[in-house]
Amino acid sequence: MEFFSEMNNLSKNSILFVLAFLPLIGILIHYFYLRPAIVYAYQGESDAFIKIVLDTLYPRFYVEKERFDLAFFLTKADQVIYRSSIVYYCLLSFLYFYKKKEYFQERANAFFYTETNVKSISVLRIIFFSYFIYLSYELVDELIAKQSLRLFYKPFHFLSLANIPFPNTYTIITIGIIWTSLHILIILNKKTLLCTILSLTIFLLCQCWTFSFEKTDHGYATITYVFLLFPFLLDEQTKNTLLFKSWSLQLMRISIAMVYLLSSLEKIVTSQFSWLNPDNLKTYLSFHETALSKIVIQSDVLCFLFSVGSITIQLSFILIVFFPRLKWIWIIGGIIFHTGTLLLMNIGILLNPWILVYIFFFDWANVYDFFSDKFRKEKRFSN
Amino acid sequence: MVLNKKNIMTTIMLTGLLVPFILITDIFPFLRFGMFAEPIKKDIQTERFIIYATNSLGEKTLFNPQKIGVSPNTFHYLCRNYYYRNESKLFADKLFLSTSDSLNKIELLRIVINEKKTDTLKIGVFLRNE
Repeated sequence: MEFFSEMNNLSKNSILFVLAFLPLIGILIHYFYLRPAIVYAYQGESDAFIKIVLDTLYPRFYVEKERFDLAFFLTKADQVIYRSSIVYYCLLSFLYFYKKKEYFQERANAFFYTETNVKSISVLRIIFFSYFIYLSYELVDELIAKQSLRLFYKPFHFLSLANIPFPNTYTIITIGIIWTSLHILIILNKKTLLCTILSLTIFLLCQCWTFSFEKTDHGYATITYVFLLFPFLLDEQTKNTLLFKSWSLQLMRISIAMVYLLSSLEKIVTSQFSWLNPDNLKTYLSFHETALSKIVIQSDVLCFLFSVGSITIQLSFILIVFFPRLKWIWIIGGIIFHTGTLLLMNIGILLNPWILVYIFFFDWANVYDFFSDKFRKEKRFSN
Repeated sequence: MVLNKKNIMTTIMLTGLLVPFILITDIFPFLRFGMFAEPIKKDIQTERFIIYATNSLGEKTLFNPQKIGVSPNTFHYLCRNYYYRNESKLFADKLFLSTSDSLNKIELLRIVINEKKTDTLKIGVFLRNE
């Protein structure tokens, strides 16, 4: 028996050893195949496999290779290897501790659930879809404006696969009316789950249409992630009692926080803190000049402080899921960050979807009680 | 690890968020957050494209894409991509068809700003129905 136990331990250790060295294969493939392949692709001589990879994942390569030197693309490819190794080892460490340490396993399981209640979700549903009435108007308006560019339409991702054309004004208006009706039904809690899935589909489709003019916009990123999970939250709500532990709400919070974390890591990994150089922000501000940016651009100190502030907020935002009681630090920081981006660079809108998603970090049961009490009193009074 | 709805969705969402970070590319609806991540080190990162438009009365003005309801950023990307694909003529033809008949001639310019000077390159002059 002891022999089998020892053998078992030995095989487990061997698996761990193999897993720890697995990225080496990727690194070898990268240096002996991918790097030379990039050099060939840069010279316009890609093999069939690299051509498929570029066409599918990096079509911008054909434009960017005219703008940047070869070193730029080799560095990018090296970054892919560094980043995948970082993610791989983080995941491996997580799985190791999850299997080995009972305490860690309990904490990890508890982490993926948050306590919530049906009342709070009802208020979240009303706020979220009331906002979507406004946002759908904005998107429909943008699509109507893009009519003048329809000759430049280049179908994006699945639009291209399904050969979906750019809609005309009447189709867009019809979609807008259907979309708004769906939101009203959701707010009134009629056929909520079905209407939410339909609304999500329209939202993704409209985004695809707006991105089909050779520019991807990140303005709706966090609200899209939250929306993708919203049907699961509604499903959980209907299947649970008044108070319950929700995984979908917690996943929404993690996704929002991860967006900020990845955004800051991207900056650090790409620029190794030279991003904090005031000249960098000055150049970006000069591209998107506003009345306020004209003043800020004059000061090295302000440019440095704004850069440090932005990266600090983005890098630390993930702590909001670990320390929910201190959420106001990151909520206020995030509001200042996004409002600053609007005022300094004219990026985003006043009713910013990045700020709206912060509603998912709050419990709204008290608001529900306040309005239901008021409604009850008014009803009693009128009777 | 149990294979239930929660675990499947958690894995999809977190993978969806991490894959664009690893591949450094946008994969809709999961996007890469590289906006403004790269420090400005090369002159080419400062390049801008501008268009001078001449109407039927011979008046020459700086073309404002917002007049046709398009954001300057989207228009800049289009201009740039057509230029690097050597399709500026096609870009001009599409622009003529997308704007009113009063637009007769467009002059496409590329501007690169560096510390010492501003380089301007005239990409071409294009006429309607040329």
